[in-house]
Amino acid sequence: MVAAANFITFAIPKGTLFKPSIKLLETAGLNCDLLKADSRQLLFTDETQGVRYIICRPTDIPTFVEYGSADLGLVGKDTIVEQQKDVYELLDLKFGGCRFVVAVPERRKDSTLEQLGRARVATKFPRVAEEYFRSRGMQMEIIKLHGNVELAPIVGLAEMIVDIVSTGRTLRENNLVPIADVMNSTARLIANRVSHQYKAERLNAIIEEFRNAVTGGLFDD
Amino acid sequence: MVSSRFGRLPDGARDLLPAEAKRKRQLEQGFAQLAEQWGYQEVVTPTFEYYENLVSGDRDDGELYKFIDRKGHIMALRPDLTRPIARMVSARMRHVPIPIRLYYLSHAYNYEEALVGRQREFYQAGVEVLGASGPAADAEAVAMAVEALQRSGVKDFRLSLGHVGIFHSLMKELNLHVEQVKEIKKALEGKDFVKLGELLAARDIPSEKQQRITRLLSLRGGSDILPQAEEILDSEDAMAALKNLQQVYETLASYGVQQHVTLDLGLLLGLDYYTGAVFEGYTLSLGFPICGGGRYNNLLGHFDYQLPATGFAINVDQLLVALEKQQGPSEGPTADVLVGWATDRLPDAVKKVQQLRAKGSKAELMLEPAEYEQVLSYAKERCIKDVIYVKESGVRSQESE
Repeated sequence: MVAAANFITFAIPKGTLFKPSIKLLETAGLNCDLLKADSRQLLFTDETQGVRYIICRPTDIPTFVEYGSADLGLVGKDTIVEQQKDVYELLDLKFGGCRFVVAVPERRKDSTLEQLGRARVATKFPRVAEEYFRSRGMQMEIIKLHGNVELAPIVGLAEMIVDIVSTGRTLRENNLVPIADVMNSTARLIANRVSHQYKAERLNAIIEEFRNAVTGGLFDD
Repeated sequence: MVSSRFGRLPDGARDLLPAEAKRKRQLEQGFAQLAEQWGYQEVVTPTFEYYENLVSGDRDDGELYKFIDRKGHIMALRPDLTRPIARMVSARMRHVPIPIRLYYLSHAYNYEEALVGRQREFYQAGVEVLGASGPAADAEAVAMAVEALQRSGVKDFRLSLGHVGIFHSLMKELNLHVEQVKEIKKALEGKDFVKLGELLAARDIPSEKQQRITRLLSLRGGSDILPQAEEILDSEDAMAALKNLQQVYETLASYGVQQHVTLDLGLLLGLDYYTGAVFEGYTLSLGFPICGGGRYNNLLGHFDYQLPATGFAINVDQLLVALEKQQGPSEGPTADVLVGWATDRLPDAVKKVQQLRAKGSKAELMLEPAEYEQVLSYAKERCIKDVIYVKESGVRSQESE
């Protein structure tokens, strides 16, 4: 069901993307005082501006948007690629930057990808990993884990990992070295297919505000 | 050992219980009636065919349900009705004068992730107009889709109308590499406008060209966008496509349905499949399109019969979901009258129930002898309004609540 007709509903990610998301919304002229109050509430309605906010896990955002429960969502490109949902991807928001890398234990750091042939790869992002290796004609055994992927090579569960790196500290602490870049990821603005048609006017106004904020250097370091 | 699948349905398949089946049947009947009023004839094609007939460049092979028959031939379940109809018309209807107007009500199969109302097995109500290339045929398809949605009772629906020819001619005009066009198309089909922006920026495309593409894709609204598009485009092809879209849109005004249709030059469906005007329908009650269609002038050529064509399909499963959200669950079908009978009176009860059915009543016969009070409570449970009781001597009839 497309979110309430006279409202625009945003799906906002919990976690590290939350704060920059709020910053963006505020720069675009949306009142986020409700969201900033430290509460456990998951749904906020701003009657005056006609906006609703759903606060949810980043991995669920494409789902809320695909079904139309949210008109717009803010979510990392990594999640979009991994979930492969049918949504419009409208803007690169330029925050939440991270990169996907292939990393191996230090002692193998001189090997190239091709030398590693048919290896086992531990990752939280099986689709991203599979797509990457397949596009290079490599058949890897992808092992899906839900967290602490860096553990896998240490205990011999996998020869390498595909994971997100932001500072690189986790890799270093576990004696892992990146040997190839898979892709870069930043937060994106996504929209539901039907909302994009049905609420085009309001959506376009918001998209324009966001675009201006981002190109105006809101997230430039 | 009992399999863990025993007694369950696979993902993307579903049963319709009587109330849902009734609503679906009403939609089907309404659609068939409409199609026949517009001069269309029904056709039925097989559920499965040789894989070769169903696959084409634009379709991801992974979406097909495939299997191998005993001779080793690859078979597939039809992913839509358009391809089977193109095959059928090319093979068996060459002698039929054109245009050929056909409609269908059929299941189709698509192995994509199963979602609400987007089933792996889904029911389509659609039409194809073959052998007509003018805007009147495109307008007929759009106007018919509007009328079908109106008749279905779905509220708040809207259609977007675009034209892939305009986009194709702009690509040609800008003289981009084949690879560039391919990547741009891929980004557009994935609705990835970020990727589109990156492609345009990175591939040493002059900013003037970039702007023309993005401006064109963002044009949306009433007939006022057409002169704006004219400013962006200047090739003959583009002007012809634009003119075509304008004619389609104007004809929709004659049909009196223009208020349901928005022009949208960013609506680019199946870029390798469609060749002209394309459209998609939405309702606020559902996050997915409920119908779609457009002109495909190249498909029949694959079957060696050069015939322009257009058509559309309504996803009946999606429509059922939307209607249930708007109108609530439908009521199950009930009989008008119940015939009960006392011991040994079955022959008379049968005669009675036959008379009632002959007069057009929906009449239900009880299957065991019963007391009058039992018959009344049976009727009440099933919401049957009228009761006829065949007792030891004579017939007694009464209305229950």
